[in-house]
Amino acid sequence: MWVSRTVWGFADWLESKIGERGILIAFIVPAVAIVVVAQFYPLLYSFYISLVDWTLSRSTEPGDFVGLANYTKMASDSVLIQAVGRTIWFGLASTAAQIVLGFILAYLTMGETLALRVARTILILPMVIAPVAVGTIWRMMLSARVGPVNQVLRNLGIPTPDWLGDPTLAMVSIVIIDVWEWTPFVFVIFAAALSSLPSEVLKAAEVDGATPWQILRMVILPMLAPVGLLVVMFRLLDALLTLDIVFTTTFGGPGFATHTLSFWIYQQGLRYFNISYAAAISWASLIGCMLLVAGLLVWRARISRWQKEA
Amino acid sequence: MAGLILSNVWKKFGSVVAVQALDLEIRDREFVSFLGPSGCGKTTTLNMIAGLETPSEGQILMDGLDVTKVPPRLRNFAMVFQGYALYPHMTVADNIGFALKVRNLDKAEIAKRVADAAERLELKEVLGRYPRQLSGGQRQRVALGRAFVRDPHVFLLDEPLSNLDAVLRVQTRVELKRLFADLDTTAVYVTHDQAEAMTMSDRIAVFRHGVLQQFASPLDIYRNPANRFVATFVGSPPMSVVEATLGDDNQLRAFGTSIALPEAVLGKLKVGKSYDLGLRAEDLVLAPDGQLKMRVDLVEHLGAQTIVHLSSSQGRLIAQSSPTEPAKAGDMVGIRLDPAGLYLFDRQSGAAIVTPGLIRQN
Amino acid sequence: MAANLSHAATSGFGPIGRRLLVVGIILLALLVTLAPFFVLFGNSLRPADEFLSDKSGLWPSQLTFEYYAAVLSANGTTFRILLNSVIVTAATTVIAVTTGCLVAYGLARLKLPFRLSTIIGLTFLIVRFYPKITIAIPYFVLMRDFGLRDTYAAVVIAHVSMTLPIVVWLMLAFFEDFPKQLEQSAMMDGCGILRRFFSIVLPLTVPAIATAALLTAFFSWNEFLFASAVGPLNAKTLPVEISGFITDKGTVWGPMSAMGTVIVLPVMVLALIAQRYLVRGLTAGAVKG
Repeated sequence: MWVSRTVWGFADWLESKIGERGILIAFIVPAVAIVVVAQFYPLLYSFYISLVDWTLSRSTEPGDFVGLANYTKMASDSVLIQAVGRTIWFGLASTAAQIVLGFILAYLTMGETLALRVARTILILPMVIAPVAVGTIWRMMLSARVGPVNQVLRNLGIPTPDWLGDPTLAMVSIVIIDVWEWTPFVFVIFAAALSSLPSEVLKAAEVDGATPWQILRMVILPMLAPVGLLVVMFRLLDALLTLDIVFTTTFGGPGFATHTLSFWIYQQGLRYFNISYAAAISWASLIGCMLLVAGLLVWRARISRWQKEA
Repeated sequence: MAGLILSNVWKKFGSVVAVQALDLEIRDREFVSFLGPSGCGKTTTLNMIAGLETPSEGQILMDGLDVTKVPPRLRNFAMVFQGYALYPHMTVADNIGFALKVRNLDKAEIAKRVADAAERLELKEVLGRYPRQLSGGQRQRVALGRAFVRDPHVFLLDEPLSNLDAVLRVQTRVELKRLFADLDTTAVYVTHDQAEAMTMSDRIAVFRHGVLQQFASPLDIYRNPANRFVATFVGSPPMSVVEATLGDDNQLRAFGTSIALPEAVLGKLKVGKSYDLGLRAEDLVLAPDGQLKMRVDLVEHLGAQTIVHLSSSQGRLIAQSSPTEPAKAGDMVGIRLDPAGLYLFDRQSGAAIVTPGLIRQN
Repeated sequence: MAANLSHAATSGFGPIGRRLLVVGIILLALLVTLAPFFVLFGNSLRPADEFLSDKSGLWPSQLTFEYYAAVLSANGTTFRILLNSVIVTAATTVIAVTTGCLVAYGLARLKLPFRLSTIIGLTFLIVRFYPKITIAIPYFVLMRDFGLRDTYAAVVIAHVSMTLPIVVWLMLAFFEDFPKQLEQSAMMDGCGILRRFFSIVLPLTVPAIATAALLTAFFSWNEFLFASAVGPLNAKTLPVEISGFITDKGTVWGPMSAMGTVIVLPVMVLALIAQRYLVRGLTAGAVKG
């Protein structure tokens, strides 16, 4: 009793001193401080680093100002150029596969029976576990000689490739792993979107005599388009920055075969300690990502507007 | 218990003026209703009295003390909200006792007062339940109970009956009147239902577009309205309003007939000028020898009353018919006008010039 | 209705064939989803000599618990790492949810000029949209300058700053939808802002808080990049340790699988139990209007 009296007494005293506004502002301060210190300051600092000459293994302090030299260096970095192409290819392929698979699964598991609800819960699992664990698991799954995938293929009499060791196949394997891990994300969003579709509209379409296939194509898909674009944006963005899977499956290999953009930045920054150069690449990719986000959001706004008018 | 004075109170939301130059004095132990259509500023005014909104201008005094900037928690006013606003995570007993707990009363005292309130409001059986387990009427009573345990300076009620169904509403209206008669405390009651305001209040403040139209007793509001808006807003069925002109013979011309006016009111009127003539249904009696001949369009049987909607080429009227020998749609009927029951308003400003209340005073 | 719709994709197969096809696809998806977990759990119990054979089968013929004994034994190095993970996750969740709730309530209730509340809210969201690798390096330098490198604080602050946006946006939506009259009622009952927030608002936002806490905990438990950048030794977490199996130790599948299971299993179990909250959190914002 006296505890609560003291606590609330203090609360009232505080409010009488700094006012309701003062308390609300005090509510805001800690979180803003953390985000500013741990996110925005480093973000700006990394831009500064990208403009100086600083290799951490040689010096603990930033070196001379070199302007855009770190950025122009990127043009002659053949590993980077290949990594960028590889990353874009990877992002598009895995996003496309995830959208298609995620939608099909969401569509087929619509409904509220217990079996479907359990199925939906299980289908979410790959996305909630640690990406490094995903990499670890799949490294075992795809192991050339004793991996379960090849064991099954061997028993079926199908040729057993070296999934992660073959330079051309390694990137395909990364796509497969990324699809396994992130299709659930697309799935869970689409499942929620499908269940929140206005049922009157679907009933109206049915009454109008549309076949299920027509309803899917002409009613459901257009209504899901704005959500779909948002999903594409999130997936593309994350795929373009994929690091954990590469790190735990191929570590960029064999050779440079699975060096993605983020992996190269990681290598430059935290392995070779060329932090200026790493900062320059990451700022370039940040600008690229922002352009992508802006483009997709503008496109989405256009689609939503068209939908609202209809 | 306390008296309240609102002095030149304004409330603006951006460029929208919600309440305009309001002066109002609520006496100690008075039950006052704020009546008006939605968006008229009555709830905003109540919120300002509560302290939930701060006036843009002006002062609110409680017993002569300026409380304009005092936060709600220090005013000791109790409020019953339209949606009841019961705390869903607390039992009925905890809901009712919460304000007392906040005030650090000891447990025994809280339990005693909660039990008293529960007794009075017939909530004893449901004290341990949660709001979601209650019926609409019970929730409403819990909301009242929360206010009653507190012994506040002023009770504020924001459309407390509007979420109840029609039968329960009339029933609760009576119970409320009885409860407040017992309490004998200052209360402000916001409603858009004129019947509630008329039955419960000592005085009614009628609002429109953020402006106080009239502040008077229910009978005054009804029989001596300040203007056409108040006259037509209060009363059911609504007052009929038609154009009328004062002829050379000091008789009022309307519906192609002449109406003699009491001597006393003639001084306020000008010969040849047009006025809005207001007539309440109860002052229009169907009678074969009536001076007005009109056709019956529609008959509404309300049990105690029978309302007839009448029309002629000159206009429309709503009148009362005897329930025992009701008119039928299509009948031609005669109507007798009671000159002591007529209202005249200025056509432009709507201000009342002649009202039954005025006629009687003279 | 849902049953009708799920017929759409398979129309032309006849009712029974159609149904079988739908069930078949779902079962296949479940198999593909669960098989890797099955392999992981199997390998964590498989005796070392069985790994060498390519005819060893998907599930071990004999079970051994020696890897778990190593991971979970109180004087082993891995146990320390497990403890680190628990500490970092717990601290991150508590701090992110607390500060996140406070800031969301502040933003929802403060009437700031120039729509500053919206601007601050959006600023938080930006964190979600730039490559984390961009700040990993300067963050590393910053923590070194603060003398916080390789401490819990360094990892926790990073995780909090990355999870705050999720918490803020989840809670902001709840606080903005919170019935205004409940708080006004509390005001009339004599509550100041703090008592209103803690006695009335928070107890009614528990489901949202659970969602936010779940997402935050999962993120922190799983996070690799920042943990590896600023917590390489003393503050090393499980994801960092398991990534080390490849680069340093060659293939050590047994211990690796045991550790993988330790990372994966708690999350799986929680996800299955708290499925409703999880889905709400994952879909918040994306599906609304």
